[in-house]
Amino acid sequence: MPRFLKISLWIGMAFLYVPIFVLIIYSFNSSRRGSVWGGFSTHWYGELFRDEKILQAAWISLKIGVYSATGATVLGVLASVVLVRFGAFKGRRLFSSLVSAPLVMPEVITGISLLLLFISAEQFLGWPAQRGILTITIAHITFCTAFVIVVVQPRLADMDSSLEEASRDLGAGPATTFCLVTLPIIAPALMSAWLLAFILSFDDLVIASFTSGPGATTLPMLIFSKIKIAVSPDVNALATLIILTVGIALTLVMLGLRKGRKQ
Amino acid sequence: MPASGPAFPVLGDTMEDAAQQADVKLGQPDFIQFKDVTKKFGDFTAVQNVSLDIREGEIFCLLGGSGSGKSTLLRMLAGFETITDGRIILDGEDVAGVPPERLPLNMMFQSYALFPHMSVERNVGYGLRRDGVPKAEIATRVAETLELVKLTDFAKRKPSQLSGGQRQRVALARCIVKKPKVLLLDEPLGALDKKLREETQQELLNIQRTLGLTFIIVTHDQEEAMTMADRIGVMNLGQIVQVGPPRELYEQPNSLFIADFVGALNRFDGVVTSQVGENAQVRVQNGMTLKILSPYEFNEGERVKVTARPEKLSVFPADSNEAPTARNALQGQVTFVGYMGDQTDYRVMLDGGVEVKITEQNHHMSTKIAIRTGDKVRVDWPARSTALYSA
Amino acid sequence: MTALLRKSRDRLGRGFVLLPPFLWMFLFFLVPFLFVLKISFSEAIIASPPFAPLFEYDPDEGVVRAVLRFFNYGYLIDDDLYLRAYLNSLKVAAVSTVICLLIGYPMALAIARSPKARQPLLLVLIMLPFWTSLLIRVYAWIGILRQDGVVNNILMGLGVIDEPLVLLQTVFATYVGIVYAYLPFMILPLYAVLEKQDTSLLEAARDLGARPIVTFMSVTLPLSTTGIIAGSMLVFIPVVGEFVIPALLSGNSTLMIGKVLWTEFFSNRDWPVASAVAIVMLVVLLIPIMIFQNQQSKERN
Repeated sequence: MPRFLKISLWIGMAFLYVPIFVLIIYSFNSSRRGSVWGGFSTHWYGELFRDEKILQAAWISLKIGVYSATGATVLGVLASVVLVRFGAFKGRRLFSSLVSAPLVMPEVITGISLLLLFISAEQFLGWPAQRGILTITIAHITFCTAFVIVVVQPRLADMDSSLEEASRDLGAGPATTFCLVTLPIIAPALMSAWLLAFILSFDDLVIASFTSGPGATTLPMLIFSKIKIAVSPDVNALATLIILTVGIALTLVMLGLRKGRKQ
Repeated sequence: MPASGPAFPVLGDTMEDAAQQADVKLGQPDFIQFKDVTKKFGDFTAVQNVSLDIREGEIFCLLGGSGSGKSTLLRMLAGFETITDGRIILDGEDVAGVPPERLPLNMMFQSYALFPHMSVERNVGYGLRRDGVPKAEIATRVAETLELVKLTDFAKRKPSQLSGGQRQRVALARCIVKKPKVLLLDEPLGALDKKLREETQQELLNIQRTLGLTFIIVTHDQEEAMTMADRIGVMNLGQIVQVGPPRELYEQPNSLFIADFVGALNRFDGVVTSQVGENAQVRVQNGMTLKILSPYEFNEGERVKVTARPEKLSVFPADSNEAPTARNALQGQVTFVGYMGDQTDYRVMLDGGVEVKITEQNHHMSTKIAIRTGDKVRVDWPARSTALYSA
Repeated sequence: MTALLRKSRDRLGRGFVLLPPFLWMFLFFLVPFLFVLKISFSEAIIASPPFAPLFEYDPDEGVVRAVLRFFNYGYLIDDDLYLRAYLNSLKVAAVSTVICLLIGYPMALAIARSPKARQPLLLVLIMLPFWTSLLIRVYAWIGILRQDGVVNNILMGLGVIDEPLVLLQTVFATYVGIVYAYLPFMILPLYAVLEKQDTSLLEAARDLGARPIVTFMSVTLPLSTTGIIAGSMLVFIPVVGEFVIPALLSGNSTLMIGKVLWTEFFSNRDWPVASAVAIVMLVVLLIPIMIFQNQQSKERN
């Protein structure tokens, strides 16, 4: 490999990681003024766990994340099966467009359109009476499904379809075959898809801001309101915790994937 | 076959003539020299101390199983792998450190490696454009070469719109249009079905003779090597085991490995009981005694391996009275008869408890079945068609 | 008869798989645009929700009358703020896409040419930042770029500058933030096509006389166009409507339409104008989105 490529790879990696390391280092800064080093301290981590508002927002985000990831994984797997196994059918193009457009749709558009849908539905049907966890979850499932498909579809396409045929040949129906053969084989992809959906949901600010109502402030919404005003050291600590959690979760998934591949 | 390259002797009517013509034009005997070449990938030695001379204008086959190092040897010559130790000399020049684009040889890849985004014509012209050949000349040379490989009508197609055989010919055209001194072919027929393979073999041979190219073919298919090669180098575990014309490899293998690798084999374990001149007697499993002609001397009581190729053996009904002397004649019972059309394969369990394979040509048009499974038979072969190896 | 039955049962099974995702996306992705369109023809009023109904029942004549108000769109044309915001967003998106491509292509190529065993690790390293919150990553740049931030501290410490540079709330900060956030979206599709490229094609090109740079231009590059298009669309389209990055890093230096929409919606509570802004943005992005869709469906077949 030419040296130029190697160097650009490592410079690019540095570009991606330096800000994150700076953030982590400064989360242990005892000084209130973020940039001046005032000595090592875990003070801000303590603050974090005493802040009711943060804890509550984190809990709400966690719940929405779990619901959204689960919903999006179910829909995403079904959609992947349609795209990989159904072959050509009337409306395939529409279907394919519908499930992949959210990948690129600017969040402000998705956000405003879902809010207006919920408000109109409330006017005409009386549902949803209040916007909050439910409406955010619906919104998140909608855009996360597209990402689940990106992860699951290639795995499903790579899978040897003769395994499914063998199962059918041995007397299992399509549903049984799917549950006993297909699902276990694509399980590692499902795991990473679920995690990706969870993180996308847990991180989302824009769509949640539009579709949320009073009383449902998610963690990103809270962080955004804090950092819009000033740099706050407790956000550094919070960010570090989030990064570490995601890092550990990802490592576990990768280990799972590797194990799955070896089998 | 229209010739686009320099003028060469007109081809004879028969293959024999052509082969003789080809022999005449064989040039420099050390056109390509491998001198003690070694290639290591980390701890793994892919090629070990290979020394080999290849003549100008010959078809040389590197034959070996997967992992034998034959492809690595080829790729070192083509400039795609560095040489760990030793030298490779091509027409008097050391290839070490010369980038592949500057070597006067071209390679036909196993996958053909046709550029999928270019038409047949552009694929074939690619190398000429790289050499800065004038546009008009590129056009004529590409057209001539496409005619030579019978692809003129497909010039505008993309590789994805071609059949396997056509792709193979585009790959060939793309190489020979550059008029290289040497053409390297990596499993050139591997992706083709049997019938197409035989036709393509002939085409390749014709083109080789017309253009007077040196061919180095890498293959794992011994039949392919036998039909195409002037000489074959058999590789195993990174080393050249034997080099020679196909006939020599088949009839006088220098080791049991070669004997087994090139063609089918019946094998017996035995002990030499006597040897007078070339006439040896060997007692094999379960007390059978075989008569063998061997140019090598063995000691009495020495453990040996005895081999005989299935087509050298004959099978007769047990009550038949044809029984020439100086032959091994053993009794047995047929366990399998496989009728293949041109030939029939038999398996016979000899009374000694050893099973042998026999192949007989079906010389006569006849639907009568002379020998069936379960029949008592006599298996019979000349002493000179048996070989002995030290165990 | 049984064949017919079996066929209809098969259909039922397929419907059971197809309908949930289809209906969901139809209801929560496609239908909402109709409501945005509808509200964009409405008028902002002080009420909850803050827009006038489109259909009015006239008790005198006993008919339902639809009132389409086009002035929201007129407003977008009259006030050149919107036009400037659209144009600037397109410019920022285009420039960011090019920068991402220039940085991302060599990185993707380097990963694709790395030993097979090391590729998954490198990919994870590229994806890891993408899996952590965008908000947090953008926020990290505030700490680096501001007046008393890391960059200024280091430069002043080294004596390169005396006065802190103004880095935050500039166009520069905007581009840094966008390129930083969207780089993985460029690298991943590029890697996907580059990794699939048959290396024997490169060897064939070299063998036929092409120097490495010529091999790149005549084989590698043209064979990666699908990845270039996919990656560029994955960056360009969302960046046009990007809100978080301009909101946190740009200050007043960079006018972007996503931020304008947000302001209209949350600060001015003018939902009809915000809807009109969204509709126009959607129309502007229609062609890039179609290019992206085309690419996707080609890849899926």
